[in-house]
Amino acid sequence: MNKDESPLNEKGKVTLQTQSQAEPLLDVTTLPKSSNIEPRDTSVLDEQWAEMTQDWQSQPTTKTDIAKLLKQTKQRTFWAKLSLAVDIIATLAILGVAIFMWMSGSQDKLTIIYLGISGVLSVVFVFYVIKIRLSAWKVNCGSPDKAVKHAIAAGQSSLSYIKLLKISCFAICPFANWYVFTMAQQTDKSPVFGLVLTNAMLVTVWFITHKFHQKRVEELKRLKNSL
Amino acid sequence: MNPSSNYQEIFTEWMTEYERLLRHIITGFEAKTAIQDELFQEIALNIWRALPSFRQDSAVKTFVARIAHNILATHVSKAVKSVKIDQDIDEISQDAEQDQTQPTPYQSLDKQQRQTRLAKSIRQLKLEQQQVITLALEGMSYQEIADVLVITTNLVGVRLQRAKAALIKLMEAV
Repeated sequence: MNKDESPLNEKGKVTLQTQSQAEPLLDVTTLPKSSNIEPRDTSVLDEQWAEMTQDWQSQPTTKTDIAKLLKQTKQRTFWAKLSLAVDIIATLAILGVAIFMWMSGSQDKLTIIYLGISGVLSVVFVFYVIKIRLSAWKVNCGSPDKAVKHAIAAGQSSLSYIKLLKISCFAICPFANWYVFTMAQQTDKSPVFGLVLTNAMLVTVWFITHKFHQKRVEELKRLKNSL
Repeated sequence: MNPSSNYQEIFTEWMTEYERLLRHIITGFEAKTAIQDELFQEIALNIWRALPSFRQDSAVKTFVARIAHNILATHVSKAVKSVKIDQDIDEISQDAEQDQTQPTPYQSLDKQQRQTRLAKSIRQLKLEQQQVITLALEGMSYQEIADVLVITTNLVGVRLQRAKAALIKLMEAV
């Protein structure tokens, strides 16, 4: 073959006629420019791999009490379901009572407003709880190759929930104080104990949530770094 | 038989059959025994939850391993790494190249030491390499690994080759 007839002269168009023609050309184009990896005898690698497989599969493992594991697993599932059910029932109950009091013409406007706002906030919280659970479910049933991406999405939902909880502590604070103060006035009692208790509860909730917030932010940072 | 008692039977059967597989896989991702147990329980919980959605068209082994790998991938990514493994694997074992006729350092260890070193080396691999290598060491085929990780068999081949090379170098370098 002279120079002009060479298939390599045609840019981007290489026609290979036979297997013997193909091999040298492919070898040249696929060879790395430089390599410091010494070629090894594949039989030695295979032997090493076989040994590793044998070692791996014969690893001693602790024996699990499967009956106990089943019991624990069922308990955990039960408590998780119960917790979600309580959230939903409580939300419906709060809204139901508020609507009932309003429809029946109750004079206790203060309680109606309190329950109404609490009910709406509760709906938002339940929405986030369900969203977080669904995200977690997606992590466990999807592709392990995308597990980290799904975990980031789940972590972000969780973070939004935590932020909402923290903001609602501030939002509820004046409202709860007003409610406790007005109720105490109506019953001719000192509002001090009620106010202290309400604010202490709100501060405790805020601090616990803040700790979770810091933990989730760290986790999310690590997840993002691992991508 | 009601579905709940049926699920209990299936769960017990699966956990009994695949307990070793799960424990082995966990060893490839986590060194601390207490956390290994927590992860095992977490995987069991997720298998229990996923049981109703199991379809007969996929193998139980694949289904169980996929759930385990999802939990472990997230765990590894969230965990604080005590040793940062950013070293180029090629650089680690400059001194590890040796006469092929001599037993490698790995071969000269006793079985328990080899198992410990193997697990330790696997934990030093990249996540995607840990995933393929733990499944391949369990004797899974390319197709099974691809089904577990929901990737193509070609990609399994590429990742496994790299993972094997990196693992062997890590084992020899220690």
